[in-house]
Amino acid sequence: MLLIKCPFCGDRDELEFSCGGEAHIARPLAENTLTDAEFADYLFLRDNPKGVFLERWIHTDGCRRWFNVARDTVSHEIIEVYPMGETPKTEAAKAAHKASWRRQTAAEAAAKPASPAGRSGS
Amino acid sequence: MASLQNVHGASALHGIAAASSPPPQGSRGAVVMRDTGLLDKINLRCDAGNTVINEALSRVVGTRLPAEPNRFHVSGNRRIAWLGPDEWIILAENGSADTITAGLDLPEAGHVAVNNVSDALGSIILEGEHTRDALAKHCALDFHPTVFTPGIVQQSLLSHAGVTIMCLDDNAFQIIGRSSFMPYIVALLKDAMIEYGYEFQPA
Repeated sequence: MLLIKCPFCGDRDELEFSCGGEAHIARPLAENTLTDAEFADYLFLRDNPKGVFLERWIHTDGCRRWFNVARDTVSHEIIEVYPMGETPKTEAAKAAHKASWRRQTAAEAAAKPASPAGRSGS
Repeated sequence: MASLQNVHGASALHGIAAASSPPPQGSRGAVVMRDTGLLDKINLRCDAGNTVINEALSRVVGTRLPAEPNRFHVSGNRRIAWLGPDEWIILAENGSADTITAGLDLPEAGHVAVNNVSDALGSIILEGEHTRDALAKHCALDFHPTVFTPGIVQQSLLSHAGVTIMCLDDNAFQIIGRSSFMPYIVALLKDAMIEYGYEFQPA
């Protein structure tokens, strides 16, 4: 059983939480420019690493708020808890974020807003 | 619209009879569990720093929003309890919800949601020296008297039911749960309290 530190309520039993799976999956803005295979990276493919994994959790039976957790899938150690919309601060979790295969995908590149000058058509 | 003047509500624990079990030897006294009956509850969502709402609350309810997590503020028999960083519940006597919601209906307050959830939730109060022992049997929260002190509200699971638990006094707790789960919660706690002795008082 994990003891998870909800950023609002404090340390609570894992039973009170629900896991939302992999964190930091950005929706491609210009999905029309992607092939089906590239879009599948965003829509279907999920990471399952051995080691540090960044995932989303919600405190379902507490404050009902979402947050991110960096958890080691081998030792179950919770390395970091950080707010939605932010990237991790600890070295181990930062490395996991950087090393994820998702950072290299066309789907993630298409999730970043294009600069106004570089925008092609609408 | 048809008048609702003559429609009377019933407590979520309506029909559950008074019951008791005598305190056995060694018990520090029976736990008294009572149905608080009809109680108005209003769910409020807004920014903690919303000055218009805070001022309206001190006028209408008598106290402001507790910005610190897991805390509740008291004003007479009314309370405002923290539920989330932008969510609170107001507890007030039966029949006061319309006045309170009307008092918070302020266009200048900006993004605010006020919902009367009186009928969705039931409430009981437990009092007695063994209250913490009984609750700890079904809940993973730390019920130590130095941790769960008066003024603290926590949301958790009581066995399988999601509840909001408020510590009113050293040995007094109020439990708010969904109306449909209240008979389950009462049955669960009666069983937990047999070894200390208990008394259940309907509204």
